[in-house]
Amino acid sequence: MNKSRLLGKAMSLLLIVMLALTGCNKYNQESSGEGNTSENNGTNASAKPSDPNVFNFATNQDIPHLDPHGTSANTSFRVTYMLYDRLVTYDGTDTEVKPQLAEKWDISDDGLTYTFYLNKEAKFHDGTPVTAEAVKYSFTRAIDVGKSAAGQFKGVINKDSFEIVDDHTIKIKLEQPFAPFIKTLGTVFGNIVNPKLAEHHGDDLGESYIADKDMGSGPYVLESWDRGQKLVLKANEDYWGTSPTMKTVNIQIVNEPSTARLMLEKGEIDLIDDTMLSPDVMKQMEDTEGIEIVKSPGYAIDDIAINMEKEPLNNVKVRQALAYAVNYDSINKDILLDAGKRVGGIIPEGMFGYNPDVKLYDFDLEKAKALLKEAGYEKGFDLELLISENNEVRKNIAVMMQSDLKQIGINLNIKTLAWPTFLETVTSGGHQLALASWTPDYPDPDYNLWYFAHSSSKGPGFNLAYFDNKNVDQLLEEGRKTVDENRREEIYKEIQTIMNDEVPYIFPSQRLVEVAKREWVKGFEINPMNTWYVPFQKITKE
Amino acid sequence: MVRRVFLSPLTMLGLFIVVMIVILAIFAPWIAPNDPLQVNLGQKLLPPSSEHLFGTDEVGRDILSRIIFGTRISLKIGFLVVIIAFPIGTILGAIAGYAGGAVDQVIMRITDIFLSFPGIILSMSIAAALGPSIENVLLALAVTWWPWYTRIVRSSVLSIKNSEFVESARALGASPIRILIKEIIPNTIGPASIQASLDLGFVILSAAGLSFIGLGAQPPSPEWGAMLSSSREILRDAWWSATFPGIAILLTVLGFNLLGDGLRDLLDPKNR
Repeated sequence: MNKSRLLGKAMSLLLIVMLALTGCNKYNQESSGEGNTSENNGTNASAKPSDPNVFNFATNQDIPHLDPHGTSANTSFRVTYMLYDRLVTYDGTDTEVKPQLAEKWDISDDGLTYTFYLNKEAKFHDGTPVTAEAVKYSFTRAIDVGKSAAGQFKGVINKDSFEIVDDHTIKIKLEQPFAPFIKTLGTVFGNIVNPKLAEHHGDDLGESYIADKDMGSGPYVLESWDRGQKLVLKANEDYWGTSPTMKTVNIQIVNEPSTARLMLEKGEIDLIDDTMLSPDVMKQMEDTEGIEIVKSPGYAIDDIAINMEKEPLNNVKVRQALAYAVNYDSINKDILLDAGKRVGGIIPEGMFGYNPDVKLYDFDLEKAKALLKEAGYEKGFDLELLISENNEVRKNIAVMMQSDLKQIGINLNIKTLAWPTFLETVTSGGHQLALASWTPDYPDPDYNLWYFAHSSSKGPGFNLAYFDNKNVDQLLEEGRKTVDENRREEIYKEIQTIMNDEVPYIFPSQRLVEVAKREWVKGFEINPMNTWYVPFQKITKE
Repeated sequence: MVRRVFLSPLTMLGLFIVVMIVILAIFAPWIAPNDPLQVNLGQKLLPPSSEHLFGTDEVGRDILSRIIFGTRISLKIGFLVVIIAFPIGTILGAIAGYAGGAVDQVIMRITDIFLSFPGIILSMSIAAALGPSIENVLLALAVTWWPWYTRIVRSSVLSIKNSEFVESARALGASPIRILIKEIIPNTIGPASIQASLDLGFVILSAAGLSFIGLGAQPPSPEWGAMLSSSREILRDAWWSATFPGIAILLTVLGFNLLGDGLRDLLDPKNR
C-alpha cells in the first residue's frame, strides 16, 4: 500500500515539474523571438473576432447576488448597472453625471428641492412604463433595505422626501443641503426597480426574490445564471435608448489568472477584470500580438490603516516614523511598474477637493529612527500587518515594508487572511496595520473623507484607523451642509492637511487602471472611479 | 544488516538525499549565497545566472538561498509532526490493544472518526479554523497523523499480548503499566517506526500543499509551497520561480520515501 502511495505522489510531482518545464519552453520561444510563436502555442493572433456580437468577459470574483440595492460587491454592481437604469448615469471617462431616466432636472436655489422630469419612452423589461411612482418606490426600498445604499442617503433624504407631481415628474426634498446629492443618484444605489417587486416583498423586502432575477429597465436582460460559473446577459431589443451591439455578454468566472490570460491569448475572452492580473503579468502581455493593455487614470488609492487605539500606534511620532519608513518610489516604480503614483491623502489627484500642497513624507529611515527615539521606542517593537489573500501586489508591498522596517528596529509580521475574515477583523478593530485600497462610488471628497475620517464611521463605517478628531468631525459636518463650492474646497483641503500631520493612514499609491483586452474590442473606456464598470452596451468588436 | 543497506542502490540514493538536505538545513547560513529575506526590487525576476544560480523571485530575493533556508522549515515540520503524532498514536494503540473491551472500543472508534476523513481535508479545515501559520499547520498535521500509528501498534499488540514472555511477566506480578512499557511497546515499535520514516516525506508534502493554498507559511517565509504559490501567476514568464521549489519538494519527498522503503525492507521480518 505504501509503495503505491509513494508512486502516486511521485507521479503527480513529476507532472507538476513537467508542467513547469512546459512553461519554460514557451518562455524561451518568446524571448528568443524565433519562429511563429503564436502558431506554436495556439494563440489566435488573427485580427478578426470569431463572433462580433458575443462578448466574453472573465473575472475571478464570484457574483453574490443581483439585488439592485442590497449589495456592496463590485461584481454585482457590474451586472445590476446593465440590468437597471438610474435617473442619471456616468458615461465614459466622465466623472460628472449625464441624464438617463431623467431627461432633465431643476435644483431650487436653496439646494433643497430637486425636480426630475422622466423620459416618457422609458419602460421596464415587462413593458410597463417607468413612472414617478417607480422612482419613489425604488428609493424608499433602498432606504428600507438599509445596506450601504442607505448610508449615502442618511441625513439627506428619508421616506417622506418624495412628492409625485405627475406620472413623469417627481420632487425630492432634502433634509439639509447636500452638494453631491445628484452624483449619488448615478451610483448603483440609485437603480430604479420595477415597483411590481412590492408584490414579492415577504419578510425581506423581496431581497431573496430579486437575488437571481432582473426587474429593471436597462439595456440588458438576464438570460441565465449558473452560479460560480457564468452569467449571461442578452441585449434588450426593445430598449427605450439605443439597443446594444453586443447581443450576448458572457460574464465568466475564471479562478486562475493564468488561465484567463491564456483564454485571452486564444481569443476566447475579450476582456479581463481589471483587478485580476498583476503588473508583472500585464507587462509581459504588452508585446503579445492581438492584445492591448489599456491604461487609464484612476481614483483607486492604496491605504495602510493604522489602528490608533492600539499601543504604540496611538503615539503620533510613531505613526510619522512609519510614514517615513515606506519606500513610496519603489512601490510605484518596481512593484506597480509605474501603474501608480504618490498621493498625499485619500482624495485622488483629479478629483474636486484634492490638495496638491500637502507635504509628502519621503522615504527617510534616519528621520524615522529619530522619531522613534523621541517617542521612546529606540529599541523597536513588534507590529502586525494584515493583508487579504490572492493579491500579489499587496503581498509584495507588505514584504518590502517588512524589509525596510527591520532597519529601524520594527519587526513586522504579515498575516494573510481570506477576504471575509480580513473584513471582519478590521471592522471590529482587531488589527494594528491593515493594507487595503479604496475607490469612491461618486466623485466627491465628502464620500472618501466621511468614511475614512469621521469618528462615527469607526469600524464598520470604514474608518479603519479609528481616527477620532473633533476638529475634523466638525469640518466634515460643515462640508456636507455647505453649498458654496469654494468654501467646500477649503474645508476638504484643511482636513487633508490635518490628516497628513496626524497620519491615521499611509497612502502608498494612487493607481492607474490597467485592463487587458483584445485589440478588436472598441468603444471601451474606463471611468476613474467605477473601475469595475464595463460599458457592455457601448462596446463593439471589429 | 549494514551490508544490506549498501546493497540497495535506491536506499543509498534516499539516504544520500536526506543527508544532503539535513546538511543544508544545519549549515544554511553558511551555504546560502544571499540573505533569503533581502528584498531587492531592482533585481526582480532575473533568470538563472552565475550571480543567482536559480534566479530571483518577484521581489528580487535569491531563489537558491530561499530554497536552502526552506529546508529548515520543511524538516522542522516533518520531524515535529512525527515526533508529536508518533508517541500519542503508539501509546493509545498499545493501551487499546492490551486493555481490550470497552477501552479498546472507545479508542478505536475515535481513531476511526479521524481516519474516515481524507487526511488533507481534515488538516485543511483545522488549519483554516486556527488561522494561517506554520505552527497551526504543524498542529493540524499532527492531529491527522496519529491514528495511523494507533492502528499499526494496536494490531501488533494484539498479536503478542498472549505470547509467553508477556504471560511470564504477568505471572511474576508485573503491573499492567510495567508490562506495557517494558514488554509490549518495545516489541511493537518497529513497524510503527518504519511507518514514521515513510511519513516524513508525506508530512513535508502536505505542509507544502497547505502553504500553497495559503493556510501555512506567511510571507516572507521561504517555505517551498508558499514559493510555488506566489509564482503561479508568473509561471509562464519566469519558469525558474516555480521549477526550483518544485524540484526541492520532489527530491525531499523522494529521498525520505526511498529511505523509508529501504528501512522497511531491512527491519520488517515479513518482507524478507
